[in-house]
Amino acid sequence: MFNSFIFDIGKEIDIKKLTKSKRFIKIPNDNNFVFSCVDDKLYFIVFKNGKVRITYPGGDLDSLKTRVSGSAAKIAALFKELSSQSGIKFNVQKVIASGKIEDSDDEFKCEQIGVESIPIVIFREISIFSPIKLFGEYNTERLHTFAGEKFGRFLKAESKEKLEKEIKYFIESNNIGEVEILKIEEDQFGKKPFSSFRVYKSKFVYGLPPTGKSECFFIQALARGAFAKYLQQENINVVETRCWRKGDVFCEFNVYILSKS
Amino acid sequence: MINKIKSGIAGIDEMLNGGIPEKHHILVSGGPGSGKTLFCIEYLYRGAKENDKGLFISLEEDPETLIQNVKGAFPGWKDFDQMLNKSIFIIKPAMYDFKNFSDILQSYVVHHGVKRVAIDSSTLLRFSFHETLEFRKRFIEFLGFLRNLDCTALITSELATPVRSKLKFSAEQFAADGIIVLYNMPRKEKRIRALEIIKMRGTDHSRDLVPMKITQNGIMVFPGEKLY
Repeated sequence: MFNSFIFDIGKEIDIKKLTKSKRFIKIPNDNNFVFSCVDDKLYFIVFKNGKVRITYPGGDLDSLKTRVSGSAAKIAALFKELSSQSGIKFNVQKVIASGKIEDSDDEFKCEQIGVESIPIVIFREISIFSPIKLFGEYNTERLHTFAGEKFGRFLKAESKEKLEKEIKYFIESNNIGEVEILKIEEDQFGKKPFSSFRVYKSKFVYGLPPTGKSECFFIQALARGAFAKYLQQENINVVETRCWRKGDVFCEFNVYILSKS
Repeated sequence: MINKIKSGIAGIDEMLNGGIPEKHHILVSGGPGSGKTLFCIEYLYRGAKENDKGLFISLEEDPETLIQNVKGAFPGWKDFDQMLNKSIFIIKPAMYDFKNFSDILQSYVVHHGVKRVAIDSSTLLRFSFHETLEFRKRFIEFLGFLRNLDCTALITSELATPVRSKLKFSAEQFAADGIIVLYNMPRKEKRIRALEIIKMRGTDHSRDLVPMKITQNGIMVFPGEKLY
């Protein structure tokens, strides 16, 4: 179940125009949609087909409704910004009133992933879907983890910052996604991760319908292997806090060092 | 012929006809206070003395607390401190997340040469699953994954009913290669410890219920003796 409010502007939107506004964030090399974060984790996503989706990943329908009504003024302001930046005139109140709750994921089915060596459908069939059918979800997850750690341990750097750049370079040069290294902030449990980064358009999940689970096991293990090798210790925990498959528009990873004996 | 590794726990290898079959994964079950955690830690300690690296994944106690408890239970282990972080690693995953827990285990075995693994306890692993069926499916897949790793694991599990005559086994226990049950049985006005091996694939084993003691130098099991 992936509930969200869907609004229809009724006209195709030039996404490039919206990126001029500081309130909308663009995913690198993608002109399919832009998004904005309203308060905590409520997404306002504008698609080029004229649809607007408001979603609260990880939350149920009631929490979505509560958050949308609590942020009504900010949402109305975003619609106004959308109108002025795109140059499309529409009645904001009328569009908001036409909003419907749907659990479809049609707009998320993006096919615009840059492919340089192997078609994405074949890559995913070989690496994800067929292994799941043959060996089960857990063993497919282990397979990705094993491979990710192996590559992660090849990455070498003299400092944490350089290692983060190495990870970014590895992911981007291999066309796995686009990386943004984040400033360290406390997570929802009040813990500060050792490192934190975001991956846009992760090849393992981007464009697939939401399942509610984090599924970028290769990237997670890549970071785990890289930091385990760099820190010379195995007690590294990498948590994918956000994932496209959970309904987020990017994947986010926090690296933690566990306490040990 | 199946290779066996010696648990090193006094009396157990005799009951197992030489030791635990290599790369087999054994459930150590029992009620509260039956000595499951100490049994597992001694398995790692005895392994470390034979140059086998061991990993203890504690899902319940913090490593510091666990170490203090072990030192309190086994004051005779003077070399235990020196083994920590060299041949015995004690780790507590950040949360009850099956994936992160599996990552750490895989990493220690593949990249750190760990041969003996102890997981305490499988009961807490259930917390990362909403449904029992999902947990069981994942746990059975997990045992399959463990068999492909070069390690021999002990996994503790709580018994819903620690009374011997009323023992019930779950799907995890049917899937495991062996089951060792530890008891803390009432006898008149006190409790006595006992142990029995319910199942052990790949080797003949004793089927007796035998007395067990936790001494200052480790656990002792008395094969051939009767409970009194």
